[in-house]
Amino acid sequence: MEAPGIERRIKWASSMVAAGLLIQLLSFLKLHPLAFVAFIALGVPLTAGGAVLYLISIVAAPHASVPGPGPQILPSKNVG
Amino acid sequence: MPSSLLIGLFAIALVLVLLIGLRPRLTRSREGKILAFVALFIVPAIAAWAGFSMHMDRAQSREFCLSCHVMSDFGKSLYVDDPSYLAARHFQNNRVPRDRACYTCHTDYTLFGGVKSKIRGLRHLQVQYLGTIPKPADIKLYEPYNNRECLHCHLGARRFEESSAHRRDPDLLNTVKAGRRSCLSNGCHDIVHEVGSLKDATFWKSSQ
Ligand code: HEC
Ligand code: HEC
Repeated sequence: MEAPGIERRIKWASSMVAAGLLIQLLSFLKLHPLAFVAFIALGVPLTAGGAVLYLISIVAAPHASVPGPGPQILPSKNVG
Repeated sequence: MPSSLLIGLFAIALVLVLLIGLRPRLTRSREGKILAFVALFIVPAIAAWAGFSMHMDRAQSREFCLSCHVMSDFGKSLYVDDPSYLAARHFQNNRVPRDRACYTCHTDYTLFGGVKSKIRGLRHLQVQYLGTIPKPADIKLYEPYNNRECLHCHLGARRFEESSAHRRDPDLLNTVKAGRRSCLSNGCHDIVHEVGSLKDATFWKSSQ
């Protein structure tokens, strides 16, 4: 089972991505240079920020569920 | 991409990301982890890219150019009922696509022309919202209009190469092609928008 910390971060990341996507979507309602600016200066950075936060949180998560050189190797010392 | 498809893409992206955001426990399973990666990274990246190209595309439309009030006289100048107006003549005879008329003549026909035009656009925004807005008749291009843009369509065309006005001076076409003499020089194609004199103009009514 994983630390709830990662789930909290995923929640944050999702909110950012969702807010960013919503701003991007709303920016299509108006054909105007400021709508483009809202898209590029608010929508995209929010979405990208959320995605990066998510990537960081999975990379930094404790590797409990990842199979790898775990305790299984250690018993070799005790052999014999 | 048609806008209905784009809206659909954004709707799917939002549903997925809200699902993960409201149920982060889903990510405890292997399938949930994959779903989260798709919802928080893959789909938003695709949506943002599609949205970006959509915006770039829409920014080429005449409607977009005319969405700032200060440009509206230039929009009107395309309807002047007088064939000596260069922009009007191209527009009314469909020599430039009507819905992209401004962009067709005002983008740089170079590799990064579209991007450079957007950066110039940022300067327009600065003037529009942080500076003083000039009168339409006082607006000037940042750089003199480059023959390259006219030649993009006209170079090699028989009517351009063989026109008697272009042939009168044997050196004229060479200096024009080398950019040493502007197509818009006095006495040549020097009547383009003339927004300062629109009050006295009559306008053509398009049948469509
Ligand atoms: C046939 C091509 C053509 C089309 C279509 C066209 N323009 Fe132009 N425009 C020109 C040229 C050429 C000049 C440069 C005129 C000069 O330097 O005397 C110019 C100049 C301008 C200028 C600078 C002010 C001036 O008069 O020199 C503005 C602003 C402008 N155009 C806006 C627009 C807008 C907005 C549209 C669409 C509604 C548009 N143009 C459509 C060719 C075009
Ligand atoms: C998007 C393509 C395009 C651009 C850019 C363009 N033209 Fe044209 N122009 C045409 C076409 C198409 C015609 C009609 C065919 C012809 O007459 O050669 C035309 C016709 C003309 C004519 C003939 C007069 C007439 O209307 O019958 C002149 C003069 C002219 N253009 C000047 C210019 C100048 C000057 C520029 C640059 C400011 C320019 N054009 C830019 C496409 C273009």
